[in-house]
Amino acid sequence: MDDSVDFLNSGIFAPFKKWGTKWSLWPVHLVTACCGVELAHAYASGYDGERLGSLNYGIARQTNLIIVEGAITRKMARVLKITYEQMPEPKFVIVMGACGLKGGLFWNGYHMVRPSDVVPVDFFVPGCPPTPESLLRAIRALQDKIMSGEARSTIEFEKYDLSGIKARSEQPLVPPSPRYCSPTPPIKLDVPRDVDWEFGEKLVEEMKSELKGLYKSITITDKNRIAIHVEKKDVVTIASKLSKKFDHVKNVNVIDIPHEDSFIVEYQLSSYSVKELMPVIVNIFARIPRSDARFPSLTVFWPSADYLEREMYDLFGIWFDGNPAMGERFLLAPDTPEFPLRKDRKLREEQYYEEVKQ
Amino acid sequence: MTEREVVLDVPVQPPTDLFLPIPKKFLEEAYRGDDYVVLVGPQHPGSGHMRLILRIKGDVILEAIPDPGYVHRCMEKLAENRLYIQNIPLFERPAIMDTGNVTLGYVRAIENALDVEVPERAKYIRMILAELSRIGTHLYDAGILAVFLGHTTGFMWPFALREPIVEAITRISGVRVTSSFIIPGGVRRDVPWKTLEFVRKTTFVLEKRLKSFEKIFIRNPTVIERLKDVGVLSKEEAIKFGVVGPFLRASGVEYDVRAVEPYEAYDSVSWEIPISDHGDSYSRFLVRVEEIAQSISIIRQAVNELRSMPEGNIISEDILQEYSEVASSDIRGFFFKVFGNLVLPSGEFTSLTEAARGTLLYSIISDGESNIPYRARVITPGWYYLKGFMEALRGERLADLQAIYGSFGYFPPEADR
Amino acid sequence: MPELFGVSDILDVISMQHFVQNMVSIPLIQPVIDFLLQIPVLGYIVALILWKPMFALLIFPGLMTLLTVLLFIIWFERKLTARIQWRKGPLEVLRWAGGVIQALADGLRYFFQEVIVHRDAHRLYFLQFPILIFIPVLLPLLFIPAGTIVGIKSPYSLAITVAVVSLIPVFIVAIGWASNSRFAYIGTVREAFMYFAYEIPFIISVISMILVYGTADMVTIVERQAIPGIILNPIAALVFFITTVMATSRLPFEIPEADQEIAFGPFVEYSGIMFGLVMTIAYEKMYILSLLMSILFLGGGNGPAIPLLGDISGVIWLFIKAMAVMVSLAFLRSIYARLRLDQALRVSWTTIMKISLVSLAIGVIINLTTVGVVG
Repeated sequence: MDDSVDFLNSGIFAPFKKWGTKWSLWPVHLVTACCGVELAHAYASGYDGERLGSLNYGIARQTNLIIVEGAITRKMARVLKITYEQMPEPKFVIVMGACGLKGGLFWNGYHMVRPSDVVPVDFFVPGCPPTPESLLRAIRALQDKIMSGEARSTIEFEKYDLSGIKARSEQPLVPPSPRYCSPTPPIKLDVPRDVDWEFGEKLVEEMKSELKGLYKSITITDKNRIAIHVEKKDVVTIASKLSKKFDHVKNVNVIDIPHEDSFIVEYQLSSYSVKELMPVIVNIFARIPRSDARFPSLTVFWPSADYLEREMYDLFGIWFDGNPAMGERFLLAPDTPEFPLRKDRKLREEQYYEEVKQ
Repeated sequence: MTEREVVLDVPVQPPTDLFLPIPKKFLEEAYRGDDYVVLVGPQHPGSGHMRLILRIKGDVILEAIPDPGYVHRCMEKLAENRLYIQNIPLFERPAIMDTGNVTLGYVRAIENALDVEVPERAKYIRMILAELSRIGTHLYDAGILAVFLGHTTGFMWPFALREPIVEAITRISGVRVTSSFIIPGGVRRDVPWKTLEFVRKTTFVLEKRLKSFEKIFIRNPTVIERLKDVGVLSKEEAIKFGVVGPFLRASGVEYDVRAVEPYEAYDSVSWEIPISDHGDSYSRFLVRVEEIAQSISIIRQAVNELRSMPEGNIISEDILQEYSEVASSDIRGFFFKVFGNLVLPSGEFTSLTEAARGTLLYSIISDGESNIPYRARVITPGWYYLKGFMEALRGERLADLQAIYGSFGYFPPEADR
Repeated sequence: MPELFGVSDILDVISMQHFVQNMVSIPLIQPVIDFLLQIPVLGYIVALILWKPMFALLIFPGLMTLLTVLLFIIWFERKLTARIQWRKGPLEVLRWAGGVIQALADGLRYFFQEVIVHRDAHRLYFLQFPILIFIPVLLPLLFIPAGTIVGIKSPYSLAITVAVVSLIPVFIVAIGWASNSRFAYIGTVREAFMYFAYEIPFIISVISMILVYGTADMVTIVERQAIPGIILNPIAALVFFITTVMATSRLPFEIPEADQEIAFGPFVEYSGIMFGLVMTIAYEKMYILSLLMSILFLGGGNGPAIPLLGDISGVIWLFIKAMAVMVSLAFLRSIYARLRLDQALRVSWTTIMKISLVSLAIGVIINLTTVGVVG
């Protein structure tokens, strides 16, 4: 079997095989991230990749080229691997974008994988995103590689001598102001703000009478923004009262405050059906202890909160009682570390290098 | 603070197994009901970067559950580790074709926190950029819808029409798609009159070419046949499932952040909110086509307004402070000096923006001491209407999946963040 | 009791003399052929190839033309679509000729690519059906008369051709079954639905044309077309055209293979040259049906005779007409979106069915009024 493959690769049919493959590089429809926009441009009217005999085509079995469009996540890496394995030989991989090269903007993300760790890569196209021209250039380079058998880089990078450069620990130069992260900051969501908003004052009065005894404080934090600080046990009652006016959830958010040993869970509500309430966002938030990360689900009142709650479970591990999908991974891949957005899950940090002046 | 290497608890090796979970309960139910389970995507010619798990009976979809997260790029976590200013390009990445609107939302949240008033000229420039992105995104979605219906000409023409828009954005900002042009307090550079004239001319080109697109795709009988009365979301359903943007307006709710909570200069130009009552795929598409016409009108008005304004002064002095002399018309060279030590006051700052595909929410929680956000929450339109999209699939035919998908213009990188 | 063939009869049949009697005559290159016939072995081969049945099988409308048409029409379709879509289409592979050999490059690539047979497939059927499908594809070509050249003369040639062409979907269903994959299953079911939907109007339109001409012999049909069939019975031509679009799964009826919906349906698991074979089925079918259409409605090989080309003149006219039909089929791709299965079924079981019955009525009327003239 191997002999016949060798024969095809080097025997008398080899020139035909090479020539056919060269002019028929069909990329599979595997869109992986945002560089797909420029890929679409490269194959649409403006740049027309079909001129090179390259045709964007259906599925893995019938194609011979994968163009990885930017970031590969842990979940997508499996798909990339499966797609690559499904593809018949000879097959090629071009990686677009900075994210596919070294991670780019997302280099220290918890969900990122380098495509070169998953599949063998023939060409990288740098850029964020690369222009359609550079993608077509990569296809040209790949054609050249198929014919000549050796991969030639089409660009030359400037070389720097790193021997005179050492890491600086105190004050990095770029950016001139370093990141300063307060270790134990106080987190307040209901900072009052003086705004000229009559309707809001009226609304707050209305709410105060309606929710008597259920809230800790109701604050106007900005124009069109109201924050209601509540206890966890009262949330369901409040939601049932507010759901008459406010018909959808704009945001479900969790803030992790390890130094105060608490989570803040907030629901931001708004209304589509009442015209005056359309711009208003009401923020109900409650503090819950970190050890007992459970919160009543409000999907009964607002079905629109469903996926937001599931996302928050994925990222923070807050168990929303009453949401049937708790305990299942939604956004994250099966092997991502649990609850990555908690503050104790640290990311790798960048180090700044500076040239030592002599 | 000293820099030190932090030991990762994140494995950097690529995944070893190829297992992608399907809910067990779902499979069991399908087995008991003698239904057919079909997995669409992520490597499928008719899906984006997501997986749809469908249970079908005959040709009818009984239930669809999404499997998103294939493009989840940890943006919220990364944002907690970067300077406010470094987050602008980060938050641009969910929907790079919609660059104007996506950046605008984040920048407005910061401006709101700092209580900065943006110069009038910058407001109009931002508005032009936002509307150009809106047209570009709607054309992109129209192209995707067309290719999902098997209409390749309908894919190529909108992408050809995107080229002049991309060119206009390039002339304004210098980059094809990821411009990061909008910064707290204004925009990076002033836009010369010649460029604005080009933008104005572009709108006429678009208008003319859109007419031929209308003939071949929008009024094509087969397209109407495929989209009409497919994937209907009633007004009540749309509100219940929290659908946003043009898709909400297609169901008859008159909600547009630009009108409800006007930002930039949207209250000083005249435009209309296109609305439809049908809530089907075709009206979701038509509402966006009409929005393109409105955006063109907004751009022309904005260019006319800019004509009478003096050039320069496009960044607020409250932000620039001691650099206001040198950097007021071009921030180049002073970027980190101005923004490096940006610290927001304590509290939560939520901004709503009408991005091309709908409401875009940024919620920044600042502790008032650090120059990085304590928590940055971003919810993109795609994530909002995913639920409505799934509900619209219920009871439709298998072939309608692509029609509904395209009519929502669902863009997974945007939804997953 | 017919006599059995003796050895001498067989020798008569395969003798050069037998071939020369029934040879394609081309006055333009007659001297060359005469010269070649003098040479012992070569002459025999030339006589064999130019023997009309063999010419029909090998040259036109058989293998050679089929392959050329396949290579050409795939390229042409991409190029035409590209021009409509404001772009260039395949070009760089052969720049001065507009990339005309693009399909050849694709074919070569497929030919040398790995063929994957997945675990769930029925290995034997999976591999043999794409090859077996050439039987119903090539067989009809023998019956199609190109001017005076015809492979097999039969009074029922039209009926046989239609019957054999109708076998192709059965093979596609078998291919889908052998693939044993979810999308292949859905695609196969769609193919079966579509098969029943278009086949009946298709056959009715053919029958109405048989009634119009009063015969099922394609040679006679072509002879009797002083007025082209499309004028005699335009409704039958319309039904034939639409059902051809459905049968070859062109847009807007590209339902069994809808790539955005079910990823090429029955062909989803094929790779390498096997996919190359199954992908061309639709094009081969399109070629046969275009030939049929030009014979039934456009006067087949009729046309101003070019004396220098002799028998080839009819071939050229038939070829031009068939290409015109194929180009108009290719044109549809860039105009229409894909219909849904239930919509396509509704269209064909109601509207097209009704129209086909009207065409049948026209056929009967013409048959009754002209029976004295023709008979």
